[in-house]
Amino acid sequence: MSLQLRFLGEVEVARAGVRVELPQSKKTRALLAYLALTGRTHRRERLCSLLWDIADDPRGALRWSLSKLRTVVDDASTPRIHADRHHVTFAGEDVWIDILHVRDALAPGVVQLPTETLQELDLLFRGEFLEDVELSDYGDFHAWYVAIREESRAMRDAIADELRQRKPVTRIVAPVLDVSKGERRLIGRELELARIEALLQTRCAHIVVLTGDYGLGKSRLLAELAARVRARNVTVLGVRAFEAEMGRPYGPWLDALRQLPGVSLETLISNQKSRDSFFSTVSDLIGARACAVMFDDVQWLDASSAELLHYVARTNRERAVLFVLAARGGELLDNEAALRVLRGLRREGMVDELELQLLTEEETVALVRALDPQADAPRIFSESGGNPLFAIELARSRGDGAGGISRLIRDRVERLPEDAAEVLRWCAVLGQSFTLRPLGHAAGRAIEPLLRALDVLERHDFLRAEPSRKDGYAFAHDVVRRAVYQELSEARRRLMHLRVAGVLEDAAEIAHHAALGGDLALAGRSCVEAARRCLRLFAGAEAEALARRGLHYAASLPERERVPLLLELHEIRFAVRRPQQLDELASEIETLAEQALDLDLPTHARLGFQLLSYLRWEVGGSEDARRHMLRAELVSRTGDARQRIVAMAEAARCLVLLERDLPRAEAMALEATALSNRAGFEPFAIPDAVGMLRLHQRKFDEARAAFQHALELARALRQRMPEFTALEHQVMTEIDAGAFARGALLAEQLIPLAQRLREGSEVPIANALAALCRYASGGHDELEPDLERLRTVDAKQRLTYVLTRAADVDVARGELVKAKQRAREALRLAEILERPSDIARAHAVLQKE
Amino acid sequence: METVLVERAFEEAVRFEDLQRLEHESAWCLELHRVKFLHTYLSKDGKRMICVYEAPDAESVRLANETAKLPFERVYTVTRY
Repeated sequence: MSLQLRFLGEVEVARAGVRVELPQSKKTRALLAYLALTGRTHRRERLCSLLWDIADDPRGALRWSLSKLRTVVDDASTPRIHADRHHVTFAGEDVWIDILHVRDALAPGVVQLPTETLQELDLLFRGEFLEDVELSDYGDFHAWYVAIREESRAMRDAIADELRQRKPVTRIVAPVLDVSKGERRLIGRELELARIEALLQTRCAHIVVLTGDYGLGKSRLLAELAARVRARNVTVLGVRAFEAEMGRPYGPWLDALRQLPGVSLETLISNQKSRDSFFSTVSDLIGARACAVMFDDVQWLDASSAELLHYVARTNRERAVLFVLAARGGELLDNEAALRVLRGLRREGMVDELELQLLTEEETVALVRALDPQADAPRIFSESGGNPLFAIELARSRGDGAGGISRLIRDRVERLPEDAAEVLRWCAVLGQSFTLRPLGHAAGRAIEPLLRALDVLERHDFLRAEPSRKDGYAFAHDVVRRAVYQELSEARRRLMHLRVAGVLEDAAEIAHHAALGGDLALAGRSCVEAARRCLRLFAGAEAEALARRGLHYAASLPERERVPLLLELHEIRFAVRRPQQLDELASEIETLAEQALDLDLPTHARLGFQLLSYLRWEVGGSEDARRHMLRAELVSRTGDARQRIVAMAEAARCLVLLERDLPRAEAMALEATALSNRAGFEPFAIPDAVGMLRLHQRKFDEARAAFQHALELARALRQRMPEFTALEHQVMTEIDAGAFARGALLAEQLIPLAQRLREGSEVPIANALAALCRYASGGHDELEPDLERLRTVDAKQRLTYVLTRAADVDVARGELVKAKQRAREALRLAEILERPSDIARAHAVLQKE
Repeated sequence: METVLVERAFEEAVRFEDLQRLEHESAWCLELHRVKFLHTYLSKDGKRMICVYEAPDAESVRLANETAKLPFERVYTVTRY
């Protein structure tokens, strides 16, 4: 077959037996594996949500990945990736795929196969399934990946067991080469160092982007550079970004600032009122001295840090500040936030690019000889291809390169004392970097034995102390961590991650480990907590990514845990951005709020209705008078179900009557409605409040229906005052809708009703409304006596209503002087009452010429 | 702000504390209407009462008292001389 795909180990593609260079983006490689192994047609949205966050422009990222994959797998005559606007398919009938080949070969049963076949199959396992593609934060993809990985392990073990039974072999382990700790001389890279050092001579800011594949020595080069720059009396802030910490906004920056003398991070953060002030404070701190900021592993930089970097670089253009950013070129392509910032800085001409190359034979030989003068350096060069990390591992192992670098590292681990190896496994579960305390707790070690184990691991160059963090350690290389981690069985990993989740404090990290350990409830809750922290730090993109992750975890939880979690996560997403597809979301949230009520979770039900009301009133409406709501809520929590319904409905009605905080009024009305549907009891205040809300929205038909319902309720209960109110509101609806004739008819019914009520403003308002309808329908202006009565009984709100509407009629009839006189009085009253809609109406009349 | 009087009458004698409790439970409503309670006069037989409020208008006091289920005979705005 002309095209071969190998997924058992690092991803490899060969055409006619020749290896093809692969896109370095992990996600692109993951996509290739997913498309090729599932063999189905996939919807584009599905693929987007599988591997990309919303903030990454997933459709664009998918398009880009597909275009890269086409160059790898398509032939001129045989296109293999078929994509239209909605679907993507990988046509792989004629493609050889290692794992599928093994699966087919094993179908008759492992015992049926001849030994040679089994040996051939065994050789196909170059390492773990998709060894170089670990995307554990993408839940759906990860679940698929774990399933296939477990299948591939089972196949590998079955083959190995069978072979062992047929022909037992003794493994020969090469003697260990003890690499003692201590700074090794840097070999090569003089040109790169000279170029960067020259930039320090100019008195302006530079950004050096140092890219290269893994193991080429970027971190080593940074360390050397830091030492040289320090010798020039320049402050060096050296930090790393970590993959597991992309949800920790500003993580690397905070690590960097901690290294500045006299800077208290806590004071710095707590003093910030806004993102802008935080940015400019950091920028001033960096620009205040000759400074070099070195970020390692920028491919994992979080979005907020990337933005801050952009800001600090731009605002310090004219200062002697050097930024060195080291990244794995390919994986950098997966980090849209970092790419965006680099594009911006490139446009401003601030970026110098340096791509690290493989070492020459001469350099590789020098490197190997420095480690082990007896080593077969030329062979190591040809096996490692000049990759220094690989060369060092080969020199140490004194073995051959079959099975790749991971196998070499695993062999080294096997030769460690058992206690150190066990601690190393805990380190690998904790992540690329970690601190002493959680490691000790998770690994169940007291400080002394722990330090002894760490000492061994440092001496053998598995770990290094991480100077930018107190008691911090990091793996010497990510490849080392991955090799150790992948040796753990799935069941063991889950248990270890769960234990780690139990000893950590940072919510984002807990979420990460709890999810890998299978405790999705803890993972979801931690996402909420971490996202809230992000919001406090003005890191919207991270908060949203965490919320999205939380939504994914929540989906498979039992209802009692799922419903409240989903509501909180939606709340966070609202805080970040105005949601799209409002209708769909509204119905989802309404269902959740109802479920919360069923589950007797009143706080979350209230949250749901509140969110719903924001959706209904559209995001960004008035948000004042929160304190009023608190009082109302206090009331609504007391008493039995009926009392609670009444209290909530009355509070809603009160808010809308006074035009205070309409979104909250809507929320409370919705909640009261839902509660009353359950209780089979409906107080008058609910439809009355809903009607007034619809009247404010000028949805007249809905308002009419609500008031009619309120009227029927009041009549059924023989409650005169509510009956009057409902009818009065019906009249007002007709007036505002311009249906004056209908309003007049209803107002005539209102008068006898008012007369049966106790003394108050009901009779004058009924008469005034009737007079207003007659006046608007072309009759005489007979309003004044009733207006005077309203003044006497001091009913300012009702008076304002009639005055503003009468003024509108005056304008329509061309009686501007009278209109303005009424509008002036209305304005004065509306200002006393603080009614925005009447103030606006009065002003509108006063503007008329 | 206006000074508003509320006249109340009861068939049976009431205690000031009972009415105060009712009013307290509806404090949110009074606050929303910006109605501020000033003071109360209660007759010796406990059957008549006059309450004095400060409010934007008499109607606000009426509405707040209705919502709070506080019984009243009359509500009106007064001027002090």
